[in-house]
Amino acid sequence: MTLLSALEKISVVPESVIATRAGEMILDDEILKDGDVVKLIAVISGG
Amino acid sequence: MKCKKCGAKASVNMRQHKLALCKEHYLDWVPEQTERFIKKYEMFTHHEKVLVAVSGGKDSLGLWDILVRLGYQADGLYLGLGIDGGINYSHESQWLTETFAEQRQLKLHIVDIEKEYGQPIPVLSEISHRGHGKPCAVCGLAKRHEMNRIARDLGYDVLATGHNLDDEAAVLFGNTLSWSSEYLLRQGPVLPSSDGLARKVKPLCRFYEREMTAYCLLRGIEYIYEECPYAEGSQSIYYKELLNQLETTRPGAKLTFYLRFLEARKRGDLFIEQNIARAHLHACPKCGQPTSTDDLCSFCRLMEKANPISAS
Repeated sequence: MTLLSALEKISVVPESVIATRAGEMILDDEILKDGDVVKLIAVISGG
Repeated sequence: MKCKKCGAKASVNMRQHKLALCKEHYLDWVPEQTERFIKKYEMFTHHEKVLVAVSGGKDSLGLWDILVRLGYQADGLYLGLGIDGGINYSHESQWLTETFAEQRQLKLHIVDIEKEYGQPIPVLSEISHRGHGKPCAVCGLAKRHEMNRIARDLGYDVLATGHNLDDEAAVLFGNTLSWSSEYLLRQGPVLPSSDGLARKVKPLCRFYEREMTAYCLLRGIEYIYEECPYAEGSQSIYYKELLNQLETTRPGAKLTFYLRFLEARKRGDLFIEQNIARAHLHACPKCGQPTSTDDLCSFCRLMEKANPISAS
């Protein structure tokens, strides 16, 4: 599945995160493979 | 997805611009665009001294990095708010800011609110009973007061903050929901200087929060990931989340919302300005900063309440 589909599956708004895999930034169309570890960095700040 | 400039694998995709870029071209594009906005909104020139308000967060450190890369005379100002929240928040953010400045040999001014005024922000907030149990109102008051004081006292021409497009859109959204016309009339990339008040500018006002996060990650800038412990449940964060949901299905909605607002206000057909009573400002008898109150400014009144013995 793509990163976008994976985010939708776990109800994370794509605009609110940046995803990295093995230290590299990946985009919505990136195909994820079984066993991939994807880090989600929250972008919203402030208060 | 491929970089529009060179065809290499893209690291950042900006749907609002229909533009995807690789790391190298993105790290060039951000300062180029910043320079474009600095000129477009006449924020400052290379001859002027810029004071950048830095918190240790991604936007302010990213901004400082960009301004230095563009060759501007940019020094930093860090305000130590004395917020712990169980995560040593202020210490951590100060350490990150100092490390950033040291690595680049940049001048950083540090003002510790507790050392300067006797109490940290959370205690000042309790003493003042201002802000419904959260220190955010007192924090904002203290930051604005101190940023202006340092800019004015040390002769800086302009104060720059790291407000990004998401910040601006969230504020605009909140003020539109309540039709706060006085705030709507003032919001924008530049607040001109007036008696005693330094010019304030937001060079990142057209970059999405996501873009600034990407910039810092790709530049290897270490910033504080944790939010202020008091930020949980805040209105502005809620509005940002709502706007991001809108943006997901309507790419560019946040940018259009902000830019069309600025254009409409400039055309003058949004609000009738003469109906808004302007506050009459005079100099506070204690600190000399402009205030609309009859006597001491809100900040000095708060300090008198916090330090009744030393004030008499």
